[in-house]
Amino acid sequence: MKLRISAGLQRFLVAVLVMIVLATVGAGAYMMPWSLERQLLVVVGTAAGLFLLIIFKLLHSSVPRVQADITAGSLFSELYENSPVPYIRTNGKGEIIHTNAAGVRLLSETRDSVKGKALFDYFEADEETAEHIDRIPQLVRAGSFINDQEVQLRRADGALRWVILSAFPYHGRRESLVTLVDITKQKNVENAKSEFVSLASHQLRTPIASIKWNMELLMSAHVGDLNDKQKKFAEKVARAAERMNMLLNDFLSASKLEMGNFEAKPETIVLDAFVEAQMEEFDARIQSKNITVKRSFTPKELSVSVDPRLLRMVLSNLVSNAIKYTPEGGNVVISYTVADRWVSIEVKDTGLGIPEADQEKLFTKFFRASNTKDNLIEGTGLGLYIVRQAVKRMEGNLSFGSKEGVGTRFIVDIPL
Amino acid sequence: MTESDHVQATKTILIVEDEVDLREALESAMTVAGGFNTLTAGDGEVGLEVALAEKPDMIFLDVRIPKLDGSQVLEQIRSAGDWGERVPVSILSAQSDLSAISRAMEVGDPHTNYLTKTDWSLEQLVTHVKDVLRV
Repeated sequence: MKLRISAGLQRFLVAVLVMIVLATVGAGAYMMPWSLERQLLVVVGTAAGLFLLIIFKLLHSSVPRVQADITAGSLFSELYENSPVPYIRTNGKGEIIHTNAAGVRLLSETRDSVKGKALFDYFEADEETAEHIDRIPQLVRAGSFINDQEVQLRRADGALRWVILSAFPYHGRRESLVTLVDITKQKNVENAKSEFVSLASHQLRTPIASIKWNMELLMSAHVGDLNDKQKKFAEKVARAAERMNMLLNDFLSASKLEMGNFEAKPETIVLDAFVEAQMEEFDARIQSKNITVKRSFTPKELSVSVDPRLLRMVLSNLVSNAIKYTPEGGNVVISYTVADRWVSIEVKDTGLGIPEADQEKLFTKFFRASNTKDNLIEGTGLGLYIVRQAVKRMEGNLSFGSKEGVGTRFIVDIPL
Repeated sequence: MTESDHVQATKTILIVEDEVDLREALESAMTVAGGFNTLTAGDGEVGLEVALAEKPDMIFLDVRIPKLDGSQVLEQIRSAGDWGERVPVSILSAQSDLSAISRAMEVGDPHTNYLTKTDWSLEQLVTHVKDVLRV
């Protein structure tokens, strides 16, 4: 344990010591005949005096620092106490030792009522959040760091609050400081947004489906043939409806990925079977453009833990692009290989390629390469933006290489 | 009429869909292009009633429908004995990511398919029904 002596007491003790030394030297010099001992005593006494003076000087110079520390200490405790961020100190069991004023307010407790309560008892888990919320007490008990976990709390008055929880251990990991940032308002806005998106998608899809299906009936032989002019207009309407559907799907994917509450839910899938299933969607387009699709999957029947929704977004956009930008009779290669706990999926085409000047902006929302406009190829400019966001959510890497007029390859690396 | 046409004509499909335009288009495609018999319902309650009374060979079921929603109708059909457990049900949803749908998918019911309305043409839906009914 450190011995703490106040600055005043330090100065007093040094003064007493200097006086004792000087008194000893003086007394010795007075009493003793001029001998070797007397000289020695004067020398030793002077040296001791000088030594003590130096010590005194050192202590004296440290006095303002000690004072500054004291001021900083009270400043920090004032900051802790009055911070708008709720701070909660817990012991190793997760029981609350102390909270600042904001913490007391957040939990709608009083300073006394909150003491000793288990912090985790305030947690409110639903089906979706149960898994990550259940992990938090273990992490706190183990004295681990926790960064930015979204948690729902039920306050003492019964109201629910969404918070971002972070925690770090101190005191040799025996205690933790937990911060809870209230994000209930943002969460409500987010929910309203996602509700709007889902409602809009339903409201828009129904009329789009109606246009698509009824145009199809109109153009089918069962209701009688249209003349050439009528057929041309009908085809235009059908194409527009298809384009609207494409836009809607891309908007929904993009907004889903941008939504804060999107959580990756990994499942075990068999990668080659999954890729094949995705390819079925493109059969008609592959045949109509007479494109050869080569596959190379090593190893076969590879199990991968990944959110299938994300992988579907990535594959369908990359394959769709490869087919779209490859001229008739061209080749598309889809393959994967495994190295160092990563699976590397590649989609390669012999298409238009991406002009070098455009490559930098490739993953920007609504960006379309200059040569796609010249060739009148339809697109929303959202596909690669969606791919990049989805790869990010899978904690993977996305890279590409392209040469105009030769082709493009996209490589998605996903951790195994 | 060939023998296989005759077999197809005997298959009955129930369409539960509240949007008249969609219901009629689907009904028309199934009868004219597919050669099936059709039954229709505009809400979940009638849909369930017709399903249990007529025991169709296949059901198209919308998710957001009045009175009983699609997942409730599916649940009751699946608990309606031998026929209910096995009858192919194709959920036709306007949404691609309904949490109710993903939950049902997790259960892994082999007789239920999930289709997003706008992504399927009528021609593809007829082919889908033929695949499911193996006709």
